[in-house]
Amino acid sequence: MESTPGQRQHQQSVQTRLFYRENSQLYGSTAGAEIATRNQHHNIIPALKSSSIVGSGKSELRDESHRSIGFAVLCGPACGSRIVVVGGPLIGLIAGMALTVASGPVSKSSDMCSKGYYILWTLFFLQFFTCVSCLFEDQIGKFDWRQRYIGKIRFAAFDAVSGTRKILVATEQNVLAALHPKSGNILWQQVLEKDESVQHMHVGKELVSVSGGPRVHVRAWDKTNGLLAWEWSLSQQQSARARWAVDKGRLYHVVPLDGQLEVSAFSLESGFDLGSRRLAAPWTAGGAYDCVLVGATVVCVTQHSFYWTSLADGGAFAEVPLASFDLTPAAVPVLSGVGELAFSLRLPGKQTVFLMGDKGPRAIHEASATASLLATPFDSNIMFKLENKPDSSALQVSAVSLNTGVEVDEYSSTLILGSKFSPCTLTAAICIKDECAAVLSGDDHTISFVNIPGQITWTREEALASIISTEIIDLPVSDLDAAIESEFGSKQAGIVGMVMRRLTSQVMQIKVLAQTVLGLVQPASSSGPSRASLIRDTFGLHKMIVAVTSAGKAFGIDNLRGELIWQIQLPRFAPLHVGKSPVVPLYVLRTTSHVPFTPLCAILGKDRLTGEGLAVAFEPIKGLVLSSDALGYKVQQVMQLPHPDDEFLRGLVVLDDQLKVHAYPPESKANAIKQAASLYMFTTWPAKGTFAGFSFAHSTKQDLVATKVWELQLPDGPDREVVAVVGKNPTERVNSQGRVLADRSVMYKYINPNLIAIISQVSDSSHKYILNMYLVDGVSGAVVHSATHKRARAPVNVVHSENWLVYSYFNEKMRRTELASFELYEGKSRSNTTAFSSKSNSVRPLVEQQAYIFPSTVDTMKETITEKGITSKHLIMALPNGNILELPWMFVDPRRPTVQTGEMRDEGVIPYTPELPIPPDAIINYNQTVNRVRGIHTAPSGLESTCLVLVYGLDLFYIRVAPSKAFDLLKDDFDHFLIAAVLLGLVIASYVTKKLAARKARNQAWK
Amino acid sequence: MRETATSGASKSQKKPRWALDFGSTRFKSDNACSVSLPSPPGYNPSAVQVHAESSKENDSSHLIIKKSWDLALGPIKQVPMNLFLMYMAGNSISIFPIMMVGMLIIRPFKSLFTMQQAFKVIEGNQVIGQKFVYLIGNILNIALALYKCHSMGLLPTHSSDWLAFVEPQQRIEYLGGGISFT
Repeated sequence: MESTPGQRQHQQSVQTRLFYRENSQLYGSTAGAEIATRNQHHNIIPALKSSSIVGSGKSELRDESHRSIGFAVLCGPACGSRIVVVGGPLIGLIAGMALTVASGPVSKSSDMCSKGYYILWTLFFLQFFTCVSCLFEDQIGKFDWRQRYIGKIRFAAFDAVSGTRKILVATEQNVLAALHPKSGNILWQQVLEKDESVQHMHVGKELVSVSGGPRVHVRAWDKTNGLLAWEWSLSQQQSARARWAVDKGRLYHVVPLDGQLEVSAFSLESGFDLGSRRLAAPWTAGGAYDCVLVGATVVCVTQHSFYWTSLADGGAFAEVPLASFDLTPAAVPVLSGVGELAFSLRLPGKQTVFLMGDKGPRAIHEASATASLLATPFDSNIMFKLENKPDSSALQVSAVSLNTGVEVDEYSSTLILGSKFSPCTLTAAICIKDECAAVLSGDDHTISFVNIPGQITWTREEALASIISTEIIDLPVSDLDAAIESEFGSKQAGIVGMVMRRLTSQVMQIKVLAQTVLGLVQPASSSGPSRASLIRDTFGLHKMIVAVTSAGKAFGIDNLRGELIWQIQLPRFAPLHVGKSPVVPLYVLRTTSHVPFTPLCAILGKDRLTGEGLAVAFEPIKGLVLSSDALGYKVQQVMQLPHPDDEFLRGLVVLDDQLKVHAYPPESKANAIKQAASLYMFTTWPAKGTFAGFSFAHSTKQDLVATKVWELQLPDGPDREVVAVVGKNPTERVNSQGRVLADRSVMYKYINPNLIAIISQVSDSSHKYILNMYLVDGVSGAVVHSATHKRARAPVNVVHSENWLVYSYFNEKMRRTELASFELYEGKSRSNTTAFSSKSNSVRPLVEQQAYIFPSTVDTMKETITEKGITSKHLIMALPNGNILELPWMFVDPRRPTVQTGEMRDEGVIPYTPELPIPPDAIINYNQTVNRVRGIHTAPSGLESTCLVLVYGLDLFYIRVAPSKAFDLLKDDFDHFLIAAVLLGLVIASYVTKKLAARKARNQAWK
Repeated sequence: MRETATSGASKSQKKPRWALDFGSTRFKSDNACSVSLPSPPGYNPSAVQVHAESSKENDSSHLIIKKSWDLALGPIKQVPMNLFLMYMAGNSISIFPIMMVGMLIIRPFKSLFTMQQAFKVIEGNQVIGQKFVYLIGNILNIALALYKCHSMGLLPTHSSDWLAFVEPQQRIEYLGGGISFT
């Protein structure tokens, strides 16, 4: 379990103690209370009778009852296959009472009463048995996988001193981790505060990290296991030019002030302030300078001179003019540290490496401006130089002696990366005896480990820690099915051609059949993740995850095991932004179901250099970039056409910042014009608080034209902020059009596919913050419903689906997170039974609303989706402690009544309780913490019961969930053999009895 | 009847105390007897005979009619019994009430379909009426059973029973968009 130190304490208190017994291993999980028995034949009742288990169970229940949720969970083989005992604080009380009652007589007469004691205990446990689904140990990882990532390297160092060698890294995602140098696996990982960054890392006896924003945390971590050794914090002036250094048990902090440099020193271990000094540095006044800390020496450069001084003794700055090194820069050069002893001065075209000595900097080597330099620590006196050669997609590694400045030939090697090439920098290097190794950090966020001389031994794709958008795509049908498809799909074919095609496909079918029967070919699902096995399976559970990252890279991931199938580099591609967060609209233009045509995905972003729109179309199964088009305009808004053209392509309609309309790909323009009358688009300008709806009905036969049909202006207020704008999932299908009431009449749902939920926040003098929610019809601009929460503010997470809306917000008055739930109904009759038009619809929906207390904050949430929409909906919520909660929507149903009447009971609505539970068995990622979740993607599978869930953030987690249980699938433990044997036995028995009966009848006839 | 006539004759003649006259023709026929001997007061042999004759004839047809009316009225007579059964069965949906309701429905239908067969043996001018009553009775039973089904909630009479067949509304307009990209 990895978490920030603050969270860890909380988690430990929630964690249940593990119970051990000799013949059945019991496991405790982080979720709080899941104990799965490994021994499945083990009977639950003897386990409960065993006094040791009962004893621990007792203490546990009492512990838990101090908190609001108390529980003890036991999984066993009875009750179908799983048993979970759930109890609350009340049960703890009853348990205590039962125990005192039972244990009273125990002291008096031993034999009789101890029996009673056991019976009481057994009865007590039995009455709280309920069947809930939980997980056996052997099911871990069967339907789910997790991949842990750390992000792009910011600092890295080798730890060669402690027992096992490891690479210690601090990343831009504010994560500290230790990587195994042989495999690249994470040995330990500490996820620090969100939205802050590691400012300095120092590896000494312990790993010291300086991280944080205005409040800086200095922490030391045990290098072997990543446990926190000590921690202190200080307030700091924010400055991009602040520098940190650790030297001889002291932590120095150098902040440039106007005309001065302030150097503060602290005792590293205690945080004791050793005082600060201000060094006069008049040359900093204009800001035209750069500083770097080399060991305990601060070196600065202006356009004319070097200035340096030691942090320890704090004398005045010494000065050396740059001209003395024959350097006459046109602008202020850039300094960067090269290990503990040297630094480099970067000028346009070249960089010069200086070794810092007592008498000031000494130039030792010259390298190209793009080369990445790093001196190894310790005494090997070697500086590694890495040069990127994009022309040959290779990296050139060479070594330079720091003493002589001459290249050491034995360490030079060329690493050819091929298509995976991306510019890299050296982040850590080490030489032990004659063997050297280096850690490279790529611009595409990869972490590579290089043996010098030698090759790259492993690469971690850390871009996956920054996924922006994902899509789950069906795999194509097998070649055989494809042949059949193409038989009917092709447009031009004579009779002879058709016959030939039919014959060949049938020959192929026979061949495949023969091979399968003879066992020559493995069924597609069981073989590995090779290209050949990427074929749609019977239940549509095997799919391809397409993930686009902010690192300019897209990945194709097999959803069953999580292997990377392909990756594509998008060198000029940069994501668009909504507010501060990056977004990449990702659309499936053509699915894999139309065989002669290749499937097609498109992403929209902007050019890294020009800032204009960039659209990349790629094939999502093999990962081939088909086209990368500069659009020539800035993308403001985009939508996909609802109906495909003749070639099954659903193009995009793009609105640029001049409100002109374009089609992408350009070929689909005709199709777009054909559908223009029914197309509407809306867009939001959050800064102005304005919403506008556009119609394309005025498009001519040649051009798409957007006409503004409505505009909505949010009331002006201080700090007004549009927090969320959420429409409905266009692929969603609603099976049930109404809700059955207790009197068996129907309340019809108000299912408006064009409804958008807008949440805005304003600050107010009396209420501090006010949240406003508007439900707006995006076609007509009509406000269908609105609600106001006083003293409530962001973070807001919205789920908008079917006829309901659920969102979380922070209640400032009560200082807690709450969920607001809305449900819209048309009433007992429908205004229009066949079609829904926003323009002609004048129904004011009936709105049910309710709020619930949620005992945790919510990082993000999403609803489950299934193919036909028959299965009930659940909410998948990512909690900040790394848990993924699956909460049935029924719990946030706004119709939950405060007073339970018979009618409501008939309807199956649970009575209202203000606080929502977080049952530990609803944590779908059991003990596999998923850190810093940014998004959840849900997709339907081929089975109606099953929904595929991908959770992404720092880590990746995939699972499939069945909200209404797997009603269309046999369980794993379904005994096919037994059923077959019984059936066979019955058939044989009936034949035998038939014969016997015939014989008996014959014998009787002869009598 | 013959004996009563004989005793009447012996009473009226007191000449011999008793005599056996085997040759007398008086006894050869009943008519002779009736002529020779006065009937007791209030006795009208012809009337008796006619009545006896007609009652014999009437008795069998009456029985048939009675029987056939019994048959025709059978279903109606079942109604109170059925009502009681229905009341006792309650409105919960479980195996016994369902079985009862099933029987309640099936029996009248069965008897309606076998009505011709049931009335085959019965002749007479009242058949039409009987059939009508029989029909009414069975229909009454069916109505009762349907009412029972209704009160048990087995009839698709509510709008919720047809909810599964309600088609989703067709979309006329298509919307896309969100917050402007920058």
